[in-house]
Amino acid sequence: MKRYVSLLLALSMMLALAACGSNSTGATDTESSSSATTATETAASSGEPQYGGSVTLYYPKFYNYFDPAMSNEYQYSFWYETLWVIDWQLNDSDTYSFDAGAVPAEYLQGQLATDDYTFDETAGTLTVTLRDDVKFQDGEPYNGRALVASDVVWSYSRLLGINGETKISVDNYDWTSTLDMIKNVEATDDHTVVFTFNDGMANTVSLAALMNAKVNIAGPEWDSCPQTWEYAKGTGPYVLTNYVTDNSMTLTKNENYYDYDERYPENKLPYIDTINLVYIADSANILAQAMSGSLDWFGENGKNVLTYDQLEQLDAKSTGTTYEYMSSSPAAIALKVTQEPFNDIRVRQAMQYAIDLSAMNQYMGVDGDVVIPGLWSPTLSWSTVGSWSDDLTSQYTYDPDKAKELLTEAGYPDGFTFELELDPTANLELYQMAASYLQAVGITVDITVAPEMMEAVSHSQDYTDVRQSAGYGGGFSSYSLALMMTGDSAMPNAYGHEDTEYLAQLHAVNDATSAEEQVAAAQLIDQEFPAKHWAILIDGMQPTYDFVSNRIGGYNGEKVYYDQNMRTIWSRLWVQSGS
Amino acid sequence: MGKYVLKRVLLLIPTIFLVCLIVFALMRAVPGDAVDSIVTRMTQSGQTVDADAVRHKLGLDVPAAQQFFNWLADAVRGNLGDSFFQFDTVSNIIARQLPVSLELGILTLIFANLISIPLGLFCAAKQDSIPDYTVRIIAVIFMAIPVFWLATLVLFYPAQWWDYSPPVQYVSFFEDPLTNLQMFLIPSILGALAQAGMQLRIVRTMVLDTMRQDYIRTAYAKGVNQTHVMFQHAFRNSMIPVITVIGFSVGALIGGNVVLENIFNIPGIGQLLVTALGQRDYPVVQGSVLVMSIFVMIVNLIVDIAYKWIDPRIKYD
Amino acid sequence: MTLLKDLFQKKTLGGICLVILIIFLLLAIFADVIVPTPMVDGSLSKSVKDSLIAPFTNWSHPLGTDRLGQDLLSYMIYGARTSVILCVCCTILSTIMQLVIGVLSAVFGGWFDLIVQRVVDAVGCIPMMLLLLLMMSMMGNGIPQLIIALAVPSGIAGSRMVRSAAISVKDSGYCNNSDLLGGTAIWKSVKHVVPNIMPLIIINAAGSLGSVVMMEASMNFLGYGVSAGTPSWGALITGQGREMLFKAPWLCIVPGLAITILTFSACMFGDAIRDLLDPRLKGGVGSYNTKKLDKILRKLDASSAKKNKPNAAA
Repeated sequence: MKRYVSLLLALSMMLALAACGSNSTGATDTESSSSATTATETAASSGEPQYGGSVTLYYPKFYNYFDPAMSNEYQYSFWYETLWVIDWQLNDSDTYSFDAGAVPAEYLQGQLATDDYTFDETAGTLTVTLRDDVKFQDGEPYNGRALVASDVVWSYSRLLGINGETKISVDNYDWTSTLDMIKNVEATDDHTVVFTFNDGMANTVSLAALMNAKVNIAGPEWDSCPQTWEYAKGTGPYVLTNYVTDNSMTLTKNENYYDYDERYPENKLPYIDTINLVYIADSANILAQAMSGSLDWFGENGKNVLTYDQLEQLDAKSTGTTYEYMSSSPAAIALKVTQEPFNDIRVRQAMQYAIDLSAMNQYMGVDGDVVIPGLWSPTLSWSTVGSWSDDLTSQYTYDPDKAKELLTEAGYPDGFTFELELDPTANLELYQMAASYLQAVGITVDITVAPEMMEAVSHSQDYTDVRQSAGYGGGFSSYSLALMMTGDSAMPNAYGHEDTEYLAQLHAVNDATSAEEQVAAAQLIDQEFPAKHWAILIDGMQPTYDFVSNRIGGYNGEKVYYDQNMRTIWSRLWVQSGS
Repeated sequence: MGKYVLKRVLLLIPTIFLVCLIVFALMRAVPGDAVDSIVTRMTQSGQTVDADAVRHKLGLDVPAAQQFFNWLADAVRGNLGDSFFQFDTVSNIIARQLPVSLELGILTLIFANLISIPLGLFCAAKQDSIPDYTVRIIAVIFMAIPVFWLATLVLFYPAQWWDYSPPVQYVSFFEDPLTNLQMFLIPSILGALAQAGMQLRIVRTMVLDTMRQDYIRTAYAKGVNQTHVMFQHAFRNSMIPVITVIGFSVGALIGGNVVLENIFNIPGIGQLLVTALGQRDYPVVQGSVLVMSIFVMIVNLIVDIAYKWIDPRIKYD
Repeated sequence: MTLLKDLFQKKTLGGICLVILIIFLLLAIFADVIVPTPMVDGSLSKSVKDSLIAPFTNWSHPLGTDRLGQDLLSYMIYGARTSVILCVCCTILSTIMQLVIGVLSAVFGGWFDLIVQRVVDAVGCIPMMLLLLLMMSMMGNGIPQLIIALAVPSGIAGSRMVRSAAISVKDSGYCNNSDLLGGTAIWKSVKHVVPNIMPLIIINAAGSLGSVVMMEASMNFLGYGVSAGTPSWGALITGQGREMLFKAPWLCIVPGLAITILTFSACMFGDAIRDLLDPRLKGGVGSYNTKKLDKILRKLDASSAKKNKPNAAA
């Protein structure tokens, strides 16, 4: 027995010592890392590029297919490249809002194509010259051969179903329809491709649309090889060297990549040796990875990977920096306006008056945000801050007395009860908070959360189902949601709008070619169709963010998770030495 | 013996059929189907789609009974169909994900046994003493702690204090055993705690049960010392029922680790099933439940037969 | 009553656990009276002003508040109600199912038994978690749905044990006598079989109490649980608790401890009941103590040594 006791004592002493040891080393670690933080911060602005190292990035979702034509997902841009890309140096939301659909041609630059092209409006042709130094990645199926014009022709032909290729049916695309304006694609020599437009289609608008179409260029050898990840090769800066379904991708530097860094013209790209893309399902794990410094970047388009509270915990560790972007997805409660009591505009107005939007924003932890009072329309997401009509911005500030008054007028002095079904991506707490505001004016909200988004959708399709689907910011783009709500899609007309004028105006917003035009069209809706607004807003615009670890050099706050930016930006970043 | 085995194997056939039927029926009773899921996804990207065409393409436009027998006929031939969402066959998907879950299950069992057998013996030897009570109370506490709660604490605090977090990028054991084990170590220990708590109590009961037998009394009467009795007689004989219990928990271990797989980013079959269930990916759900159930059935059968073979006191009925 | 007396005398810890269970039960029943801030129209009062008050700093919110400004103590008490409802209903429902399926299967026997046992086998070998997920996504979230999903599979799969116990009772002499006297199968089950397997049923029921709480918490974690807004410990951990470990650790630790305590008490109580009712563990050498036995043996050794001594001397 004595032996055991002494053993136990010895063990516990060792443990205590170890704990002390790790504590003290931990303390010095944090000290050195905090000093390192300041060092790297200065280095980030003036630091010199370095080669080598490896980084781990969060990636929200992998798809299990690798066909270049199907590869709309951003991770594919690491190895597949397109003829043109958005000029990444313009890429911050102050310069241009890239969420707005087609990007004007002047914001694009050549990738596989050189910057000089000939556009002949009368003949309806666009002649493109390819770079002559582009080589495919080593290994099957291309074995490092040079890129030629016929590869471009093949890539476009199978999307269009011309030149003897069978048309690939592509889902999950927002730009394939823009290709319909092309009549033919042909190669005149090894480095020249001529696009011929359909009659009457050759104008600057269609040119911009064509250049925006993200067609990944690959060679016809793809057709005759097993179409798995091992054979997914392109011309890009990184080679896919390992893939674990639903878990991770390993990307290794392409030693023969042709491009140079514009900022340091003598430097060949890319800098980083290995990029690991990892999907992490659990947000607590993402937080833990970022806190321990094992995750170098995370971000997602229009969506927050971590909540603001989690972000605060991460900031306390100062392992990296968060860069915020204004997002344009305010949360809202969508109402079935064909049904009682929501068919009365006064009820909807009352509900909007009952919610204190600025308090809701504060509660969400958003500082310096923008509150947009007013009955919500889906067009709102396109409007940039400040361009709202004064009528809208001053109309619905928090006023519970007025809400009660309106409810009494509408015949609901004691309020009513309705059921609200959220899709699982919606922020439940936010809706609970909104419900407590509505409770104060007598409106009781029964909140349920559909386990799956599609279940919420199928419920909202049901005319007789009183449940209301709400919760944006997650799943739907506002535009497709608007279409869904108005019956112009495969979805039944869930929310009872059958106003063709309203719908036409929505189309006008989507089809606009410039930001100004879009804003004008959106404003028109807000002015002309106030009674059609079918949702009430429950918070303002919230920022989304990218988190970038201190190890990364050369990053200036560009929005990474946007189309080809995954490639263009990460091939230009480096890992700081000494970290 | 041979007749008994044959009977058990033959009885598996109707059971497997029933498993298929239950899973199929439950899956079809879930509101919404893969067509909704696809239409939703495409509508999200601003496309208009023809739901009927999608339905036909997935083979969901025939009556449910016909779908069931079509699927069953294919499954009997070893073809579990193609996933609706992943561009792969169900067999490939299962072959990829099941071993990952199995590894987690096996590691969990190893840790559970490392904890439970020595402690169970210790408790039996010190029956009704303070150490016995303490260990048993701790065992019940292990069983009572919600695993996702503990997992969150175990993830968060080491990251906060020591900048440590387990790897999230899956590497096969044969490629890089060290990284692989690092990834599996924490989840398997966490999973093992509850399992160990349960096993410990069974080991203890069984050892005590055996010690009540006449031959143990005889051994004591012959003057054999306690340690010898414990290990040579009681332990070895009481391990038979313990092994049975371990065998029966295999099913729960491969199917029940959904939570740990989710938190520790392990691409196992539990994660796959949760995703597939959400997307209403019928072939994947049906196929993987079928394979897992057959796996459990076979393990149970082996355990049963082995049990009866080892212990001649048990009659075959 | 003797059982209760035994529980407190022989299994003090089990008795304490029963007291804890009863406290939880009382909390659940009288939740509306006890809580500092009662629910209005099915929801706790929320206010942005009061969000995230730490425990023990403001005595109008003894356990602090969550992000929504809900009083945590009230939330925990209402959460106890959810857990207790689930525990009690699931246990009762699954016990009844076990009893009905097991006893009928045993008493009728033959084809009926064969078919029912195949269904039982089938349900038993589908991993439980998957069955739960399937049933919950079929029925949607909510307490009644959760009760069905948790009780039905375990009711079906657990009937196997009841069946084998019932068979052994059925084959005993007095049951056969009942046959001779013209008792119907149902009469036989109710009159003879069920009372005789009651201890086993109680052991099973007590043993499964704890697992319900755990299962509910795990299901909540996977997004299939009680409906939104229903106070539930599991939902609190999954939602705010896991998000704010650093900023508000009490939101994770308090409900986690509550689940642990409730499950622990249920398990210990189940154990104690089993120890008291299981005939194998009762009486005979069964309740012996190795130390005591050692002492006896040593005494025997000593006396035999004494006996042998004269012989050796001779």
